Amino acid sequence: MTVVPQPSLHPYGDGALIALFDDVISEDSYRRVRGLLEALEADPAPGQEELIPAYTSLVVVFDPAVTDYAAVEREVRIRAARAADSGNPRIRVVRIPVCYEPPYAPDLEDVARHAGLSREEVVSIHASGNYLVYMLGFTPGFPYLGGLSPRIAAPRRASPRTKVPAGAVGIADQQTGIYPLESPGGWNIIGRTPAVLFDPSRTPPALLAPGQYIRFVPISAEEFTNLAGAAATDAWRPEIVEEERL
Amino acid sequence: MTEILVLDSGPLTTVQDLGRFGSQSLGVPPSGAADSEALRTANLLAGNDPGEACLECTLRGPRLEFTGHAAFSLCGARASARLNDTPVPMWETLYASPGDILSVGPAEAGLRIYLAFSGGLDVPLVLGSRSTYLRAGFGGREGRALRAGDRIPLRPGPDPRTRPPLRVPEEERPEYPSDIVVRALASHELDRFLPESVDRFFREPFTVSPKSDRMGCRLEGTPLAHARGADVVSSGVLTGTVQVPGDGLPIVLLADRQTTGGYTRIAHVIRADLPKLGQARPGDRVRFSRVDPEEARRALEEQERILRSRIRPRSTDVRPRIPSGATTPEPTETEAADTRVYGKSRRFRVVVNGLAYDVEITESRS
Repeated sequence: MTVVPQPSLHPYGDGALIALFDDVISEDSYRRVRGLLEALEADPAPGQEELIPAYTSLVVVFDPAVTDYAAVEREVRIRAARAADSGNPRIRVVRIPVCYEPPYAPDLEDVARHAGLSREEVVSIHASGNYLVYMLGFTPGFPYLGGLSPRIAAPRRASPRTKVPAGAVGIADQQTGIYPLESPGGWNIIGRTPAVLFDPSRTPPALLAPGQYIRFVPISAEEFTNLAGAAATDAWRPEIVEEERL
Repeated sequence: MTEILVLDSGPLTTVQDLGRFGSQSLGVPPSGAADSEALRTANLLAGNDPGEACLECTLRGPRLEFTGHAAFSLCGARASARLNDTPVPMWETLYASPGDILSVGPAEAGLRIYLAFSGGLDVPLVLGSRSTYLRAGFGGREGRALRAGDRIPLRPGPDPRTRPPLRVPEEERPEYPSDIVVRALASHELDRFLPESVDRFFREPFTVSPKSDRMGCRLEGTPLAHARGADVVSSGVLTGTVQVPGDGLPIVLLADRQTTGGYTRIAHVIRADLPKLGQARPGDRVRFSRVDPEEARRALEEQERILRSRIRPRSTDVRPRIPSGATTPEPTETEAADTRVYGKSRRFRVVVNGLAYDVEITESRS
């Protein structure tokens, strides 16, 4: 039996606890975050209100009128000791179609120049491999993804755009992500997906969930138009496939 | 069905309740009233459950027309208000008739005025809440601030004229001073700050920046110094979390905050004191008083106790008379002004200071 390293637990204000698993981001420590998350979802601590997973931590929000930190810490420690890392050998991969062509890719040229690659090479690298959805944040449904090849990393734009459209796929430093809603942003926009990432009238409202993987699938401008039309009426949603964990 | 017709919205008036919980792992902030204490009190005075949807008015109140009868109340930042041409008090149950126009002036102390209406505002529930989240454009009225011409119905309920007249005595109302002290618990990341900066954070006041909004109360002052850089691996953050970015100036996260953040945290404001920050105006001074979890717990208990205990009946019944030909079955008014028969229920139970009293009503006929 392998010994799973235990998180350090700390008070986080007067109604929450933070479990810290590591101070560097890795899929390994993230699986331990998932393990505790799943244990607390399956068997909530008394007074537990909400769980917020992130790269290397889990915030457990509780109702201080019902319980206190010491009691929650005890409950979390019991579940952390029981929880193996989330060792599910199968992963869920959401296939996100992306059009990397003009006018959807205003900064692809800059990213290619920065990388010393052709536009086609950047697209081919971006669309290969799976990206882990570590967490959602920034705006509702925005995925923080791990797995960007350092070969196509690129610094943020010197001057952020005041409006980035919903569905824009960007690169900033070592990260890639998708804007679920129109918002200001400084990432390099290299494509756009017709998929709806966040719609508060749906259940669940977010297309993606922490712990899933995504893979970018290049599409033409014509396919983009067709899928965007279907997505608007919810006649089409991205396909989710199960794969073996590598 | 009574509607509220917006004649003039004021600079920033949104629909808020106690917030949207349960979707933070999807990046959805709670939103909700920046001053939940004022919102809950306003609801109780209007005869509602404490969490019904209200108007949160920043800096100045709106001008509204009532299309029907309503009970309502004004709490939060001190402002003058008129119903038609008559000045009306805050922190009391008030009654409006069809065609009445309510005008609420600028906030004179505090920042946000709360307006509760009998039944609560009837806007759709989005992810379990009626609160407006402006940044993503959902909740409230179409995800936006109110504007002139908006009509918002009130949720149906018993005749608002039957709601009991209540008030919070003047000496028990919050005062919203410009010098604000909030209690805070130290963060687990204190060692990421120079000891001198930690000491100063819990001693010296900071000034509220005009860049503050519903996402965060941004503070100005002598920058705090990090021991090992300002950035940490992003993790969940909460309302009341005090994060310190690279410029050394603290930001206290408020209702519309993001759900995750990557700046070092120096402290967390205790839940009981969050309403004070929701009322902090640019230029106000905020000082953080370091407390332990036990004091945080006592403060929350005290706040819950006061919330209800300070609400008293008004000494005079100011309810509008319901005409004898009114179709509404309850209550029917009898000859004695202060004796009312509520429908068919003859017996009911009143709990005062934990003691239950069974009360029987005898219908009197002339």
